[in-house]
Amino acid sequence: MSRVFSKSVKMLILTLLSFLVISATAAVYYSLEMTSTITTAANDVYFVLGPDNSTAGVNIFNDNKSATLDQLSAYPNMTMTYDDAIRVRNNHATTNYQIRLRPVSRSGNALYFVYINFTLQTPTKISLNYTSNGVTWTDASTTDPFITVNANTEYAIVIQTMANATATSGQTATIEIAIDVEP
Amino acid sequence: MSFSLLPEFFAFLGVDVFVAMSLLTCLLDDHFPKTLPYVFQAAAIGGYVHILISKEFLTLFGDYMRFWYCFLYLAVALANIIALDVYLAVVKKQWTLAKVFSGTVVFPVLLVSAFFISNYASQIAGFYLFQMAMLFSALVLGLSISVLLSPKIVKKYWKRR
Repeated sequence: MSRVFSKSVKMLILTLLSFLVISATAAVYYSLEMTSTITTAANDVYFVLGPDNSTAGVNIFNDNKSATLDQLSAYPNMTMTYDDAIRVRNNHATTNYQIRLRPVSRSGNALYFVYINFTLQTPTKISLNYTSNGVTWTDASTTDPFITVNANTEYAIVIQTMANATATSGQTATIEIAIDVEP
Repeated sequence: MSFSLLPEFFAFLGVDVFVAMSLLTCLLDDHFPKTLPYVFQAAAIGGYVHILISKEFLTLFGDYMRFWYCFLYLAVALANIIALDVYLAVVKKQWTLAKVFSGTVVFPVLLVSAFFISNYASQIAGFYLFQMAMLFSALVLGLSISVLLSPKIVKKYWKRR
């Protein structure tokens, strides 16, 4: 009887110890899996030139991940629209991505501008609108939702500008925007 | 999301094998030395430490090195399970028990380990042949066991025909 009891106790202790060891090992393995599954990959979403790129002075670099548009003009009291200077392309053959436009920085005197708008021509259009009341800028919202860009498709970014009616020539504004991509 | 094995999985499998052996030797304590369950339990804790060290030095050790030291741990666990079978057969001269042990413990554990190793090999080098062979052998084994355990099924089958 006592032998059976001692064997049961031994078995119980070993079983509890086994549970402990396996749970702890599984937890470490799981955390290991979490830390080692992050791998770098080539980006599927990037910039490509639109047909009107020369008008806007588009320069794409850094493997199509960055772009500058340094010949955009804004005319007093008149909307200037660049319909298709630069595009965003989802180059993946099958995967759709979620993207959004995100404002990064803005400089330039509010006195000379009325608005500078960037609109991505996806089926549900998303925009970054910078507006000025002649004194201060109202920057674009940073909380825009993500929208879907279909696989193997390009979408133009339409840029609209307007300068203040009293603006003198040669005034500049610099705006940096980013595109966030989610799987 | 695709499921992929890390090299540490083999150490994890080794820990499981040691724990199972610890409980088995405790259950069959009439046939094995009394201290053996505790030795296996200590070996399992060693495996836990092994994975913990691997985690801490993840960036230092490459995939190749991680695979080999984890595989080595699993190999030691498998060698121990085979040694238990040999111990029953040779030292204890309990052939029947050794046969049952090899059929119910040793062979399934080896099969499961071989399956995961082949899975890892296919993930690393796209080597699927071994995996297919494993699947086929497991199927044949499963059918053979069920037929051997209930031979009446075969007799009924032939009678019907």
